[in-house]
Amino acid sequence: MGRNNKYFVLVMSWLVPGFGFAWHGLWWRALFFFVVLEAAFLAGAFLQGSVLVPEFAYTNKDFNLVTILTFFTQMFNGLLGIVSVAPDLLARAGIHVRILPYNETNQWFDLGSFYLLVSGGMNYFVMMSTCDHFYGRKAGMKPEYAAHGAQKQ
Amino acid sequence: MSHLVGAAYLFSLFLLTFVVASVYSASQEVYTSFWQIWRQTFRRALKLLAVLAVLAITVYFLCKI
Repeated sequence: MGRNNKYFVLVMSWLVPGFGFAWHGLWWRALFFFVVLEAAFLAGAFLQGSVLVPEFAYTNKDFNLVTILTFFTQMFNGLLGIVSVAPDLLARAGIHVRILPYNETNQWFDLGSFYLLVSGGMNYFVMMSTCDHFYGRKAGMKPEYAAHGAQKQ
Repeated sequence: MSHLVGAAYLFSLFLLTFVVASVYSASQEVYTSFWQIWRQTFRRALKLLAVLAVLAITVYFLCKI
C-alpha cells in the first residue's frame, strides 16, 4: 500500500477519525482527534441519541430536508455512524439487535443526537484537512509552512 | 428534573464549543505547536460563544414580539 494512496486514506479517515494524521506520522494529533470525536459520539449515544435513517421520498409526509442533512452530517463519523444506524436498518430486514440503544421519546434524545451531529461534522473537517495538507494545495509545504506559521504568530 | 436538563444543555454548549474550536484549530494548523493551537482554540471558542450569546439574546427578544 503506497503512502500516497489518497482514496484509501480518506476512506479510513472517514471510518476512523484521525487515521489520515496517524498515516502521515502525526500520532499525537491523530490520537487527539480519535479520542475527542469518538468520545463526543459515545456521549451522544449514552444520552440515548442515535443516527436515524430519514425519509428520502419527497412525496412522503415525513420527508424533511433538515433530517436528511443531519443524517449525512452524523454519518461523517464513519464506523460509529454505521454501528449506530445498523440496528435501524437491520430491523427493516427483520433482524433485531441492540447496539447503542436509543429512545426517541427520551428527554435526552435531542441533546444526544446533537453530540453525534457535532462529532460527525468535526470528522468532516478532519477529513478535509487530511486531504488539504497531505494531498491538496498545502501538500509538500511541511517544513516551510511550519516555520512561517510559527513566525506569523 | 427540568433544571437538570437545562444545566446539561448549558454544559453541553460550553463543552461542544470547546470541542469544535479545538478540533478545527488542530486540523487547520497542522504543523504548529501545542501552545499556539491552544491559544487559537481559546480565541475561537470565545468568538463562537460571543456569537451564540448574541443569537440567544436575539431569539429572546424575538420571542417577546
